[in-house]
Amino acid sequence: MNILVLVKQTPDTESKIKLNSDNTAIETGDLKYIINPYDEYAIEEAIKLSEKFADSKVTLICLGNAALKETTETLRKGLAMGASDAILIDAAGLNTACPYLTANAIYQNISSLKYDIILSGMKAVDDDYSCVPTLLAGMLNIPAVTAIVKLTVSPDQKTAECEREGESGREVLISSLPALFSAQKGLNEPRYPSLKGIMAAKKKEIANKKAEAVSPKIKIVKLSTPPPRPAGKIVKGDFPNNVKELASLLRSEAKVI
Amino acid sequence: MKLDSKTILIYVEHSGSKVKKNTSELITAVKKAAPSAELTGVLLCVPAERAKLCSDIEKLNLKKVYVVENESFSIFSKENFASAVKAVIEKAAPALTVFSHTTNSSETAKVLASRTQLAIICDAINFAVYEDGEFVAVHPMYAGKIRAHIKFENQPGGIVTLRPNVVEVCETASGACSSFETVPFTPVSNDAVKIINVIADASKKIDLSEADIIVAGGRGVGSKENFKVLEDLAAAINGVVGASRAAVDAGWREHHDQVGQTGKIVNPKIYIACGISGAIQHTVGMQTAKCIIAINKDPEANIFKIADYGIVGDLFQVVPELASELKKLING
Repeated sequence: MNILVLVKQTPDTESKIKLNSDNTAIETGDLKYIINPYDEYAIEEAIKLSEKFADSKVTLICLGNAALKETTETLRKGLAMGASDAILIDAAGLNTACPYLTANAIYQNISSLKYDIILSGMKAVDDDYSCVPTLLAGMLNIPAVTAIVKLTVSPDQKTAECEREGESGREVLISSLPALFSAQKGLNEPRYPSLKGIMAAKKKEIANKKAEAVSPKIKIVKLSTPPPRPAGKIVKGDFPNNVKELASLLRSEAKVI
Repeated sequence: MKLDSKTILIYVEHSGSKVKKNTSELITAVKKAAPSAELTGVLLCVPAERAKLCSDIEKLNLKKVYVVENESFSIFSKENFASAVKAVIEKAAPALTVFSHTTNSSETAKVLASRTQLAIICDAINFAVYEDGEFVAVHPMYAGKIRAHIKFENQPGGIVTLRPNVVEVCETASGACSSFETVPFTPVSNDAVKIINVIADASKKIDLSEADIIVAGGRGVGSKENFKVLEDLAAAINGVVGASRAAVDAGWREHHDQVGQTGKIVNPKIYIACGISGAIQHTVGMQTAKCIIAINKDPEANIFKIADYGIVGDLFQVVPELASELKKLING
């Protein structure tokens, strides 16, 4: 079975994000990068499937700035977890702030590849758009099932049963393959790369690709930071008087009860 | 893209029997950004729901509402719903189509964008029109640490989804809806993906992102069983229970209860954080709550820096007492 996994690097979720002086970009100097957390679930699921089905291949696809070491580090980590191949599409010169353009750049590079399943994270924790999986699946004309928490591929590899959190409960769906699935937390517990995996990943080739730029459909005019929240007050006094005082403040001062 | 005197299509979200509050939020946000635009609506419903919903819609002050009624809408399918909205867009030719960013509507919006090639800005918290007349949507990035002001680039029309609960609804004088138009529709049967079952979660009454009151617990709660005290408080004040990543990772709560960067971003009226230290990946998920109350035994906990009210103390003492005090107030 051929599985493609869309991955990208994002700033660590514990990072503070600061803007540059003219509010057009974030300061990246001190940032620590990680694999987008949702993409780790996608990689893990792909590797689990490759262990279950003989002769499987897991190819990581990353659209990122090829000149940055964080981009290749992301791919190396995915390879160390157990992926077989990696393709890096150079995003230099592309306006990746537009999900349509991002999906299109990936589409250009994967439409001719053989695949049964495409896995991705349900969103990237940097731009928080969550649009690329659905847009890409539309371009490839394959079904997209988003935010899945369970995936079971049939023994004949023609269909997959999956589960996702819907509005009225947990939805159980059956999709024909090929299809795209985006991963929600809860799908699996991503493994740590083994030492052997890390050593093997160092030797693997990363295929470098390019994409033709198309016109972006949306554009970021500027960035801003949310207004800081003013510090509140600690309700003093002994228990239970402090709780009584809090309850009365919620009614008389905050007027929320 | 400029919106002067153009048509804006509002996706009417409903529960089957009544129009949901977030539909009014969409109307309030659009009216504020584009007062001269013409507001129309699109309603998808099963035939039996139509009369009740249309009388509810009369209150919304929309110029015209396109109604697509079909039995197939009894089960949510993003492909089927998107193709119905697409049929309406082809008729109404709106400059902007606006959805609420809820689980199902945001999925419908993305599939619609994919099928129509229309540009999409997802998960906005505000709309604005700049001095040059350009429509701009504000979308939080990095879980809200940063806000991006985004416009459509060289587009004849676009789609925006607005996060629920962030816009305070302005009640306007209600005028009758001027007309309803039924749009014929043949459902798309999606053979590629089929829903075979929906396992209802009885404990999940309201989605966290739409809840008015959230009682959330973190590492300090200590165990799955201990969440009972939070559930009792939530029940007393008609709230829902949320959790920090630590509590979810420990297996005490389901992932759909998680608030934060890798969970849900919430905007309730009241957020009560119990035994939550306030790591940045959690606080970005709830810092836009109107009133934050923190209960933690560590006076140095970060959560107190963003809380409106804090109590330093043992949550197992404070939370039950707070439940009984608030119950007294509510029952007046």
